[in-house]
Amino acid sequence: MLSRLMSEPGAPGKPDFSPVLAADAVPAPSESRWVELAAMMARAVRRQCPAWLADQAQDIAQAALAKVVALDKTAEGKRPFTTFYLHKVAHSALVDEIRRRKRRQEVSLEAPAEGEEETRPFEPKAHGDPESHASYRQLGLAIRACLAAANRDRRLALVLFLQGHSVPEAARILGWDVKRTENLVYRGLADLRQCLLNKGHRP
Amino acid sequence: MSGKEPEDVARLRAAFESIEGDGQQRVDAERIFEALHGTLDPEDRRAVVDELVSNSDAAEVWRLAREMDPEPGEQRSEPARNWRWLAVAAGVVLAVGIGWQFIGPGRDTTAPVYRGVESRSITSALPPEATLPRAQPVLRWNGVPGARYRVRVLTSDLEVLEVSAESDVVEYRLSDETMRRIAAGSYILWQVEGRIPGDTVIVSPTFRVRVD
Repeated sequence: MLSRLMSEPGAPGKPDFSPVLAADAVPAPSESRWVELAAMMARAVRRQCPAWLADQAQDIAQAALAKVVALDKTAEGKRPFTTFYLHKVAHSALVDEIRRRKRRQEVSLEAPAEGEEETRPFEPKAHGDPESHASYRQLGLAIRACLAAANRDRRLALVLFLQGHSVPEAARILGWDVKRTENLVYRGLADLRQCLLNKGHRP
Repeated sequence: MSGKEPEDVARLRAAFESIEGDGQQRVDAERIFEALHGTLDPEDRRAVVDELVSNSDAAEVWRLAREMDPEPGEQRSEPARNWRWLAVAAGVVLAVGIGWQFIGPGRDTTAPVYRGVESRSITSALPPEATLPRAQPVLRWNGVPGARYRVRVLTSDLEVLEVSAESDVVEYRLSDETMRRIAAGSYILWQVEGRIPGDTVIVSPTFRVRVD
């Protein structure tokens, strides 16, 4: 049933994933509800799907919808599905697929969209010679060790900062005011530099 | 932190991100999505963030969640709806209390955005698989309205080659001196920081390009 719901007009039918997706496994809700859900899920996947993975979007949407079906069955059809929830499930399915490909070192045969190559979420950030890669990996491990030993609040602020968030972003995520977060990042960076020097690393 | 970021930040960020997940640790991608996009309460969000230090798989998924941010509005219907009803209820109380004259037609009834995480992003505008020509070493990106940019350029072993002055132009030409330091065929890393006056700072992912 899901395959039928997810198929684009004119697209060849896809086999069902597993027995749980078979038509008789889908609980009470009306067909129209599932048609609507399938369309919403497809939109949610497309909205977040990197261009290089677009050819897999339909399969990923099916996998995501499978999860929704299973949950709906557990809840006996009484669970409301919000748009946010569908985006969350779609995101999770996309992340699973990206990480699965990364583990398998798969490379798409299709050329990515313009600008996409440089921002593939799973692309390693640097490809220097093995020796230099090893050296900054060592630095990365040292950073993690220093963070693990740091004061918790400084650690939280600094982790987000090192993940690329600005101070205001980090403040909003952590539920603190910007000034406090800025102070924590500033002090956290100072601690981190000293810790790295103690471990023999140049920050 | 409100001024320029210290020189070593790009290097620390890249080193921190270099520890990629090996797929061996358990990761709850949905919970990370909720933490990043604002539906968890603050203490739960902090717990998720704290896990990023010890769990490199979780840190990787966090980066994915940040980079794959869906457009604002679409994913936020549930909380937005809740806020909208609160706004309506508040409006009714206001109407009973002080009369319609204080509720003008221009009143903003737009639901507030519940999630504060920046949704704008800076992406590379270099063609896929591009090689940076030595004769024309220009980095280009897709910016955000109103921003002024600063570019950091690093070697693949994270030595800072140069940091640009702030500019509102969405491209940056590497200096001759920098180009002399880059071996033919090697990669450089570059990152753009967009500053919007009176607003916030948007930092791009770290991009990579090979120099011919």
